[in-house]
Amino acid sequence: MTSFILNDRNYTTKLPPGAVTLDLLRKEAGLTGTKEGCREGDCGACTVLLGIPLEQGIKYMAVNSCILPIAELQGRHLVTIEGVNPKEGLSSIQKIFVEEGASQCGFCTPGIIMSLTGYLLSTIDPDDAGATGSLGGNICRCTGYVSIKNAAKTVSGITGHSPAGSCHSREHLEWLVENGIIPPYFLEIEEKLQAMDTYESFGLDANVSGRTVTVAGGTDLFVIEAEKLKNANLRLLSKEKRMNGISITDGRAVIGAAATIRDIIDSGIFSNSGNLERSLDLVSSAQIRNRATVGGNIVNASPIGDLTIIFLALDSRLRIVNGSDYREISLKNFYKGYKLLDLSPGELLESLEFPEPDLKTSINFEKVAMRKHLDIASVNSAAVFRTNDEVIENADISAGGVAPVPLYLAGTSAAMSGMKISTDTAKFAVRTACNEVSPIDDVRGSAAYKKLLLGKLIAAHFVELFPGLVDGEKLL
Amino acid sequence: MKHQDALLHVRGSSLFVDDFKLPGDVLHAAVLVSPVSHGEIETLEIDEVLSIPGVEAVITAKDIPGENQIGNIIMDELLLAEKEVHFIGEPIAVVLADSPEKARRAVKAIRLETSELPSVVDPREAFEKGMLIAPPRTFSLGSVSAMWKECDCIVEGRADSGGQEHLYLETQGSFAIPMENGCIRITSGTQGPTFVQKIAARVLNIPMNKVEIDIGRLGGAFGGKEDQATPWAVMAALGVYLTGRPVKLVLNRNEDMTWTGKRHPYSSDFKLGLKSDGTMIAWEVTYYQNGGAASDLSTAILERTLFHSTNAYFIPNVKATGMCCRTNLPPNTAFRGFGAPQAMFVIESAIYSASEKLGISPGEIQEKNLLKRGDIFPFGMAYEGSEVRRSWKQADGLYRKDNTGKKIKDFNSSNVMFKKGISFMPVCFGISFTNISLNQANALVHVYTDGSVGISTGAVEMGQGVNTKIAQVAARTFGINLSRIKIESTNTTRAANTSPTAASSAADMNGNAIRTACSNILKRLLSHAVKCLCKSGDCKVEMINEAVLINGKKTDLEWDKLVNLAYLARISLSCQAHYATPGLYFDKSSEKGRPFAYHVAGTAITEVTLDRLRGIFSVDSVKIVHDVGESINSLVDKGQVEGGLLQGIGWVTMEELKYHTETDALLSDSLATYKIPDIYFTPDKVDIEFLECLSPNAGVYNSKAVGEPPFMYGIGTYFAILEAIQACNQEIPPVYSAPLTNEKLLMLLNKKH
Repeated sequence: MTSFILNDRNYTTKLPPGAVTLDLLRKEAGLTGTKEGCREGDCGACTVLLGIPLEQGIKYMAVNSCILPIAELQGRHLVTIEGVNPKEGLSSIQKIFVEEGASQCGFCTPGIIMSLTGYLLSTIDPDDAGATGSLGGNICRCTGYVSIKNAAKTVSGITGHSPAGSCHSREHLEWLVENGIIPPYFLEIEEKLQAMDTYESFGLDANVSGRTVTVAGGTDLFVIEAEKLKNANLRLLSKEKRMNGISITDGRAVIGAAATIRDIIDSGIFSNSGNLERSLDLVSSAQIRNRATVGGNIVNASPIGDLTIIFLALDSRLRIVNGSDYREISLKNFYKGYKLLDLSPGELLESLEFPEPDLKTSINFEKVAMRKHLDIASVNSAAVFRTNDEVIENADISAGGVAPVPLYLAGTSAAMSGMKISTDTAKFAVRTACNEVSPIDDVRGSAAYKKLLLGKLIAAHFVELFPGLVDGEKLL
Repeated sequence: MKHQDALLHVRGSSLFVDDFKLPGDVLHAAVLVSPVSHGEIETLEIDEVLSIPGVEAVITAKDIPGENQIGNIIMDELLLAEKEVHFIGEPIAVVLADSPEKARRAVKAIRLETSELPSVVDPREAFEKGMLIAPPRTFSLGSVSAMWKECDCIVEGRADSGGQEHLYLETQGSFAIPMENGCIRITSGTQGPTFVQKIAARVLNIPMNKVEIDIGRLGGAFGGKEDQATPWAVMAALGVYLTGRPVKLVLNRNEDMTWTGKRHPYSSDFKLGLKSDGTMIAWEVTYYQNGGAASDLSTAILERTLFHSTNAYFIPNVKATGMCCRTNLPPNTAFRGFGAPQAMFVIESAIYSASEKLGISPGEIQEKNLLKRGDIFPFGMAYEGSEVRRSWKQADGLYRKDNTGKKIKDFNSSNVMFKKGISFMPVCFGISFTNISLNQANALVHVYTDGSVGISTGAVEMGQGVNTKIAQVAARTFGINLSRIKIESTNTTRAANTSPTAASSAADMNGNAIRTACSNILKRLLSHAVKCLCKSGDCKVEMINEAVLINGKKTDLEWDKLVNLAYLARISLSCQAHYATPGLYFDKSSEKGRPFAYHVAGTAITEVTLDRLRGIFSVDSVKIVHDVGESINSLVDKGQVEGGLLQGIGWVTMEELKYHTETDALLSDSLATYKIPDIYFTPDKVDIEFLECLSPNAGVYNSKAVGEPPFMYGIGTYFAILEAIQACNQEIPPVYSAPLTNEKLLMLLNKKH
């Protein structure tokens, strides 16, 4: 049994905790405003809001219901398009979409309204870029997005700066109610959640006989094996406190394995790390960033995981626990082969830590995919240089999509030590890196392309980080 | 005026096929398809599957009571394969079970063994092997062979354009419900209700009047549901016929992408002859169309390719030949533009190629050769408009006003890592079905005694706003408020023998039929008003803003009151009307005629920035001057232009269909591997100006069709990128092979030469 609040009322379902929320909505609750477009988090037609009670207030976020296990709903507030409809007429966002002609066939529209509503619920200071960015995970085939973009910009302006101190506060909800963004019943949710049976089972359900599967964000698991997970017990890492924090102590940053990409952005931990914070926009979509975790990205072992590539270059170490035991291992040594990890049964990745970048550190991330946003890279690469007076003291360079594992370019990184930053050094790095990789032909590009592209991205690190010291034209 | 459906969409309360609540005994269908691109079924064992709990039936070709044939133009496609299979995704059997999951699991449990036969996926190879769906066709004007010696410059080459997945957000689906007396009611996500009705009747061997098709709306279609919604609807109907229970069949995304046809890939050879000043005098082109495994609409699509071989230009000597090639891909089908984008990509490639050789900019060649009134198309029709040149001129004015040329030159000379490119893309697109008989529509209007109005037509709402336009036409014709009008579902019992909502013409034709029907009812109402209000018989009467005016003077007699009076006087408040587009004819033996009611024209200017190092690009701005006649709904029309543009840009850039080189299996079979434009990719600036309407045309209330033409503005992005590449390095030879993906772009920029 999973109990939660669905829109304005309490709801209990007997559906297995491993079934996905989209099916609960459409097939059990009869709420068909939430659409099924792809069932893999790539179109956004199924976007809903998940409200998580905090010690004070509620944190709302837009998520893809097609890959959200029902277990995650326990004790939370689930909002669908039906739940943002005012009793009569339209919400302010809905009105704008009609005015701007931003809805044609209408199949993607409810998801888009939810993403934007989620955006206004998760910021006190909306702006155009944020509003547009919140729709990065919503595909529309009719409009060409021109009208949607205009609508998003109008939406970002309607409320203005919220007088609330935090977007999780009751004051913020009041502000949104006042502005016609959400219906008044939102103001009663916090109390209703508190009154609910707070039974937390970590998803373990006596009625479910299947195996137990550990789930972090589930944004890949529920794409590739949703059918199998339906009858499994889920151990939800999102509900395990020790795995969720982000902190910096004594010059070392620690990120819990269950911290989401959104958590990283909110923590500001990358604010002094070159283009990293900006680059997180290139990682999946707003909805996925709200769910996808650092640990999931690392343990998934995809040779092309954006976060893994970043953390490789940051020289991260992993803390792996097994009951009360723990050990540490460098991320560089974690991958043993395609999807093979140095992780025994019973072991769990708990957190990751890396040295906090200082003023001598230059960091850059590059990614090229078939589409710039919400796409898996053809090749990605991260570089962290520690320099002193135009000389490289230490370099850590990683690359994805060029080997069976997320690759730390050990040879290239080592070869950079002591070199003076120059066009020739950059060229040398390009050559060395290209000799270090063995990409294969696949749907994301031919081997020849990936090799060529890797060279360009290595060159791009130098062009971006040391514009005065290298001649970009010679690196083309 | 707002898109009327949007009011429901934004609340999530508009119903699509998968949203209807169905009776509890509904069965869910899943389809077993061919796993090989060409082969024979050796073993098909279904008995074990029938014993799985929840499985009700497994349907194979043997169970079909009528004809196992779903062909439209050519009868070459079976509903369920009998022996030979011709593409991956060709349906073989249908499982009915009490849940979609069970049905799909049961499909996997069916024992199917197939032998493999040699397959062909390349149209040129198919042509070499004589695998043609129909005999070649040639459109000609003047004599190209006599002209080559007159040319100062001749360019020859090859241009290829890839297929394109429709990616309507709502996948294919339908459900069918048994009615009394052996009748079946099908709710289908189709653009062609009559076609579904006809094929269902054919397959079930029952008369058409026993099959009712009903359509609320489609979640996007773009041509992909013109013919290819049919099999799923007919399978559901077959399930009803065999079990007596309601049956629902909705494809999931992977099934839809893998099994259904797409835009036709083309490979073409061209030869263009010009005078030294850029005047085009001879054009010879051969198109090899990849039709896929069955004809579907391929021959009609290839015909439109031939109609648009010269795009917006006058060339006095033309020989255009089309080969409709049969391959082992899913049957390719209609997609916005219907063969015209493929034709225009080739002529624009030839012009670009000539510009290189002549040292004249592509824009200069384009402008010099634009159609003017009276110019003859290769198919014998004269160009009757002025919009081609007027739209160019207006677009060129925008270009000059912004000093765009100089800005780009300055940018390119001061930037090393980034280069900009620009292109002009004129478009001239013929409006009407090229199959003359399809250019008809009918409509049924009921005025109820309270003054509200119900309207039925053959038009299918799929986001393009046709229902909004039709409601506006009705309100305008009656002289009443839009709020009185309700557009009913599209239903074959109210609008029969209809043409598919396609060829951009649904608003034109159904709108004209509605206008006639409403006029007829209004005439009856007004003559009754005269009876009630005029002492002398000779007075002018009209309905304006819901009130009767006599000799220009408002009376107390209002719409709803008049309607009720007319009812009491036993005057009919309903009317059915028919519209046939006038003045159309075409003779296939000479390939000459007047196949189009009119042309839609426009010009786009596209500006791109190329990142030389990474081999990626962005579209900075697109300025479009477009001809909509007198727009009925400018918000809807603007949306069509924007949406078409982005689909077109996607087609020539990121949208790439990839197949396994050995098995022919589609690799780009999900949204994770087949990328379409997203909100970030959309150009920062899309400016659209509507061209002033100077002459009457055949559209309803002088409006013009808008669905397809804007798609082809997207082609401009391809040539703007080529210009940016030239700005990097003039030694790089241009390639004419769409889509120009990031991979192709980087490889091209780094080609050793």
